[in-house]
This record gives sequence, structure tokens and C-alpha cells, in this order.
Amino acid sequence: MNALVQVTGLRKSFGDNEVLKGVDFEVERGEVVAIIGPSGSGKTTILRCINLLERPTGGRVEVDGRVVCEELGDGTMRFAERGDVREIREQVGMVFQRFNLFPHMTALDNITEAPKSVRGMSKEDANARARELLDSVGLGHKADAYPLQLSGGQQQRVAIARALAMEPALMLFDEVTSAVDPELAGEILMVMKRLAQQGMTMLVVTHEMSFAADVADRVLFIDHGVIVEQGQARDVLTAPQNPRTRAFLHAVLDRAPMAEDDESTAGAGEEAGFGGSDLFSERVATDPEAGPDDG
Amino acid sequence: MEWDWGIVGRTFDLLLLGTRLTLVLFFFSSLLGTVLGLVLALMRMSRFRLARWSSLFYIWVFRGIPVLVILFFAFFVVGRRMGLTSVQAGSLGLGFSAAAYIAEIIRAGIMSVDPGQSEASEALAMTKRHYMRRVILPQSIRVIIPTYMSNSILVLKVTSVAVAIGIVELTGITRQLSNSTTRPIELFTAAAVLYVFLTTVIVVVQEVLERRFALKT
Ligand SMILES: Nc1ncnc2c1ncn2[C@@H]1O[C@H](COP(=O)(O)OP(=O)(O)O)[C@@H](O)[C@H]1O
Ligand SMILES: [Mg+2]
Repeated sequence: MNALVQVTGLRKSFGDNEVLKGVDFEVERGEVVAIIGPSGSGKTTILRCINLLERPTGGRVEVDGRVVCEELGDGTMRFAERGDVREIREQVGMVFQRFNLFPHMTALDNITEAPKSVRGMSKEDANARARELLDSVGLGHKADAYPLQLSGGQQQRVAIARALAMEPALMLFDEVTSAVDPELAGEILMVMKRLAQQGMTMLVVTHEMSFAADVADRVLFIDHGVIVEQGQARDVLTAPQNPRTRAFLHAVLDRAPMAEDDESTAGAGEEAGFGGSDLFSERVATDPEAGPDDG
Repeated sequence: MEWDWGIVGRTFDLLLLGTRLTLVLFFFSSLLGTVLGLVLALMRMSRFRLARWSSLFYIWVFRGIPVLVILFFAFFVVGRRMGLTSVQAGSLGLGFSAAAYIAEIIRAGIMSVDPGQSEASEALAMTKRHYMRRVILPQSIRVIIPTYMSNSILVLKVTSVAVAIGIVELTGITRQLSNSTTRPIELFTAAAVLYVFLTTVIVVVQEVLERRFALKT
């Protein structure tokens, strides 16, 4: 079977500013791929090109066998028709850095709005499903709360539930923990980790290296609009080949890449790599149910 | 010259009749202005160039022409041709004029909504028509209310221009009464008080609406 996401030669310019300069990667079904890289390198733009929030200026994107966009022989772009775009978007859930919940609707209504209007679900079914999803992200008791009454961590979990309510085949996460207090990141990462374990295909832009190490199958390192390095998560994170990757990991981890002390012992690389991630793993392990949600 | 405030009491039923016509003009011109203003605002943000340009053209023209001139057009040209009453023609003229301003107020409100809201809606595969109605407009209302209500006060007061096409609304009846009774001070003071009372109602409605549409925190 084809990869769920196929991105080939993806380019995107804003005016004269070429932000993506030919990006190629695939995401297999059930795979979790993390995109890491410095700020401004084009990570968000990649995600937004997949569901056409941004219109690529070159290359080809395919999701679940459907062509999102493709470059024709003469260099012009052909995009999916309006109706097809919506069908593709039904398959692709997206979670934003700044949540983008609908502030005038309760958590429950945030989740049911799209299933009701896009998938024609009945109110009863949509509500029942939304309550299940809220339970699954540890917020069953917050169904009637408005977004501004929730913490950042809670809002982001509602946003994840909202995307999941459309039963997407693919979830896009764009630095979903960067706008929340660090102590609340764990409850979001926990939900994402569980989602990954349930087999969801995920493309995750993140600065949470421990999460990438723990959950991602593969990691793409992107810098200045090109994929500089990609591979198995443990390889990229523990034994980066490219100096730019190394410098970046050094900066975000505030130390050498995760396997700093044992480049020689390839066999022990796995242990060492994940040993490194233990530094952060208590955040990942925070149980949302046990979190500060009762207020 | 002595005050004679009793004149106000003796003519009060006539002043109220004038007030009623003022309210009729206000209601219909607001209704027309709001519906047309909303349509113009949405056209102004349409993906179709023709819609955007038509809306821009309308707003440009109708904001550029004095209300009185629009009113004369509505009365002498449109009203005569279509056989409208002066109140119908007046409401039409005032409504068409108000629409240009209301369109800009609504557009500003819509543009004030975080673009993340339409992006989230798009990502959820909603149609633009749907998320405009369910996500964007409800949130823009909070921003629209203060300017819209302030504009409503202008719309209310500008109904007095209708005197020029022979509508005896509050200003018109007051002028007639003051001519026939030579009590302009008392009568125009009464009219002023009535206008201030009506604008106060608008201000109170604004308060209520602002509270009603405040985000729950
Ligand atoms: N809508 C836009 N208009 C113009 N430039 C943009 C826009 N969106 C992103 N950019 C530019 O594209 C580059 C990459 O942005 P982005 O994909 O958001 O990076 P990242 O998510 O890796 O931080 C940045 O230089 C940014 O300024
Ligand atoms: Mg980004």
C-alpha cells in the first residue's frame, strides 16, 4: 500500500522569500514522524501545505492516494478542487500551536460543530462521541466549559479531541505544547503518546526532543527550507550526522545530542539514547487524569 | 416673554405622533441598512473580484453623497417612479446611506477575528459559508456592537433630514407646532429631550448586548 502522505519536491515562496526549497518525505500508515528544526525553518509551512491552508508554489503532495496539489509540466500548479480539498481535510486533523478553539462555544460544541455540519452527524451521536473523546483526553468534566475558562493544557486537549472527532486518518501537530506553561505540556504529550500507541498516523512538529525520541518512528530535521537530515528517531537524535543537526540539538537540549557519551558503542546506542530522554520523560508520563483539572 | 411649558403638554400627543414616525424611519432604515450592509461586507471579502469591486464602488459612492441628496434621489427619482409614499422613499434613502457605513463597521468586526479561527474551521473541512455564520460572525458581533450602536445613534438623528421631503416626523411636527404657536423654545426643547431619550434607549440596548455577547471567562 502507498504511504499515507507523499510529499515530493515541495516548494513554497511568500513573495520573493522561498521558505520551502524542495522537500521530500513520506509518512506511512501508523507511522509517527517528528519534524524538528530551528524557528523559521519552514516546519509550520510544511504542515499547512498538506491540508492546503497554504498553497504550495511547487512540487506535489498526495494524501491517502488523493492529489492535494501537483506541479504540471509547464511549472504551473494544479490544486485539488474545492470539494476534494474538503474531503482531504476530513482525513487530516490539525492541532495548532495556539489552540484556535472557538471561544464562543463550549468545549463540547467546539468538538461537535464539524461532525454535525461536515459529516452530517446527528446532534445526539455527535454529543455522545464528543463526550467519549473528552473522557479520553481527561476532560470529561469540562464539556460545558468555555475555552477561556480552561488552562492552556486543557484547551489544547480539547483541540485534539476536536480534530479527532472528524476521525481523520492523519493528525498534524504544530508545536502544540509551545504556547502552554511547561508544567502543562506533559498532559498534552501524554494524550499524543496514547494516540500514537493506538496506531494514529502523526506528523508532529515539536521542540520536545524527549517526546520525539520516545514516540516518533522517524525524525526529519529541517533547516532553511530543506530537509538536512532524516532517519530513525534514535539515529537522528542520538547520533546526528549533519553538523547543523548537531548544533541544533545542542542548542535545544542545552547539551550534546542524547548519546554524547557513547558514539563508539553502536549496540548500546538505543539504551543510551533513551537514557538521555529520561531527563524529560517525567513530563511525558504525567497522567492527565491526575493533572490539575479539578479546578 | 414668559415661559409656557404647558404648550408641551397640550401638544404632546402630536409630538408623540412625530416620534412614532421618527421611529418608523429609524426602524426601516436600520433594517435595510443592516441587511444591505452585511451583504456588502461579505461581498467586500468575497473571492469574486466583481463582488468585491461592486461593494467597494457602492460604499465609495454612498459615503461620498450627502444624505440629503440621497434622500432627494430616493424621493423624487425612485419614489416617484415606483409610486412610493414619502415614508417608504425616506426609509429607502436613509437605509441605502446607512448601509455604506454599516458595511464598513461589519467588515472591520469580521477582520478583527483572529485568522486562526477561519484556519481551524478550514482544517476541519467546514465550508466558508458555514464557518462565517457559526464561527466568524458570532465572534465579530462583540467588536461590531459598540461601533454599530454608535452609528445607530447617528442613524436615529439623521432621520430628521426627512423633513426635507415632507415627512412630519419629530423635527417636522415640532417645526410646524412652533410656527403655529410661536413657542419654539419650549417645543424644540421638548423635541431635544425626546431625541436624547431615544438615544438613551440605544445606549441601554448596547449595554445589554455587550453583556450578552461577552466571552465567558
Ligand atoms: N503567511 C506568510 N507570509 C509571509 N511569510 C511567511 C508566512 N508564513 C511564514 N512565513 C515565513 O516563512 C518562514 C518559515 O515559517 P514557518 O514555516 O512558520 O517556520 P517554523 O514553523 O519552522 O518556525 C519564516 O521566515 C516566516 O517568516
Ligand atoms: Mg512554526
